[in-house]
Amino acid sequence: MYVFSSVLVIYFALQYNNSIQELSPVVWSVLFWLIILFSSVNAIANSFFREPEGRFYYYYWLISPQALILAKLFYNFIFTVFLSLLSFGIFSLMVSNPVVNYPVFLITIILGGTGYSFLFTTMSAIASRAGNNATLMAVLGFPLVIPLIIFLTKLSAAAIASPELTDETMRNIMLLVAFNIVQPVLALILFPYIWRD
Amino acid sequence: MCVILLLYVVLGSYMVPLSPGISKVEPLSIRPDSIYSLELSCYHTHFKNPGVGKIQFWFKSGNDYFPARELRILSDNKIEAKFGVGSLQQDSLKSTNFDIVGNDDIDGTFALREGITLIKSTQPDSASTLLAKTGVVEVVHNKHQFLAFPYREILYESIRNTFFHVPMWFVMTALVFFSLVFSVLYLNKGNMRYDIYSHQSIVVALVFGICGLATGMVWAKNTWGHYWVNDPKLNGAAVGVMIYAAYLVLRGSIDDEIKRARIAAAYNIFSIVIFALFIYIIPRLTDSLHPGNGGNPAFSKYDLDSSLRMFFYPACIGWILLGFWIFSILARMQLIKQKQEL
Repeated sequence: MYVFSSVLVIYFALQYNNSIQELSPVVWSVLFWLIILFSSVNAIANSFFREPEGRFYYYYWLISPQALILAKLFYNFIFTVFLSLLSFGIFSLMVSNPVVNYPVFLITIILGGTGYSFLFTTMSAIASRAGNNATLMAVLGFPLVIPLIIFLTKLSAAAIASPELTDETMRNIMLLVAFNIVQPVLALILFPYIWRD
Repeated sequence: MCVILLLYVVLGSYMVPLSPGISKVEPLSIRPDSIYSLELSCYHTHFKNPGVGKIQFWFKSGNDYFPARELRILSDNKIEAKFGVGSLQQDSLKSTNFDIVGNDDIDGTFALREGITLIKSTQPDSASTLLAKTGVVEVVHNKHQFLAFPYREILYESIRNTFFHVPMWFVMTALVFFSLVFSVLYLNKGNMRYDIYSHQSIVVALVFGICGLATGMVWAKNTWGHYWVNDPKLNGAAVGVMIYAAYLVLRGSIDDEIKRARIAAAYNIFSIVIFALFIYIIPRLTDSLHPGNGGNPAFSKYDLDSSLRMFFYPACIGWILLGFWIFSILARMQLIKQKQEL
């Protein structure tokens, strides 16, 4: 619903002046990743905020913190990747679909969704310990998400521009993969400290 | 100790003059077969000084030096030089861009790279007798100023900012990694003292980061023309400052002391990865206006000559000592405050 309405907002905003026909690839990819950014922040914020107070104690007795964070990471990963694919579908239906190189773009979507989900899951865990403040999550998470957005827009611009796989694209993909490995490892190590009361 | 070093740096950076150079040439381009009188605006030269000795100017193309035909001193910093190239000669030149080299007894040798351009004529005039003669260079190396900062185009006097802007970032990174060590120690040992250390070093790092941004902005206005340009290092620095401002916001929003210490330490460790990504990886991958990136010459190669080094290394040490000094005062203050509360 969130995705759909934000795409609609963009559609109506762009329809003014007919600028939708001449949307440049860079603007397209920036808009696309911003929609995914905001929708995933909203979705992932729920993962720690919506839990009733008593349930954490219940979890605490039942399972280890590593198991909990792994489960949350995995659920959010699936959810965000699904969300990104859905946004891509709606976006290409309503706005336009300039993508040429589908394999690269799909990899970008999966890596981007993964990166968003891991980062915001950890941030939501931290923010939930600091008094369930959704604004705090944005304040903490947005500076950290900027490098991710830089690489994602570069990669999707490459997927739009040319059907070939260049060395630079490959290097950006490898960097994103490394980014996506480091984050859950850090989350796994640090979550026990965050969680303990 | 650090005060002495910094005093030395501040005094040195303001007292040491810039070495002489040529800042402007009028006109910028010449055509063959006529003699031009070029007005050269120089910087920090002493043409009217009685001890100036013989003033010489050459126009250099490839490895050939062509002496100026006639020199007329207008003022200490202005000189008129006559120069012309024959059209029969234009094809034998190695380059149509002439470097301008000047020499006198007081100022030593100074130069402007590719200061003047020859526009080749399409119809060489065979009747022209004008030829620029190759001259022998007799340089009297007689530098009166034993210490002077190098004269660089675009940078000019702002080269002194090297001693302020660059060490700021060294201090910030040093303090950030310092605080990382204490965050890890806190999570391992659980001693509140480590939390205070890590918090206070972030505060000082943030102050230095903001100073680094401010000095950088002044420098950018003078050299690149705007306070803020789209450059990966600038954006990275801004994001780095934002990350650590967010750290302080996070600390402010938790009341319970132990919980605050633990969560802040966790966030600190998490964010340092991204900070390192910004500082070390992204600027290496993209072009930057800063030296040392994207084909620009690196700092150590020839940007830093011995006169700059004499101040740059003490400046780094001095600023780092100052940073850690402020940090230790703040940390001790917090420790005393904590003791009073107990």
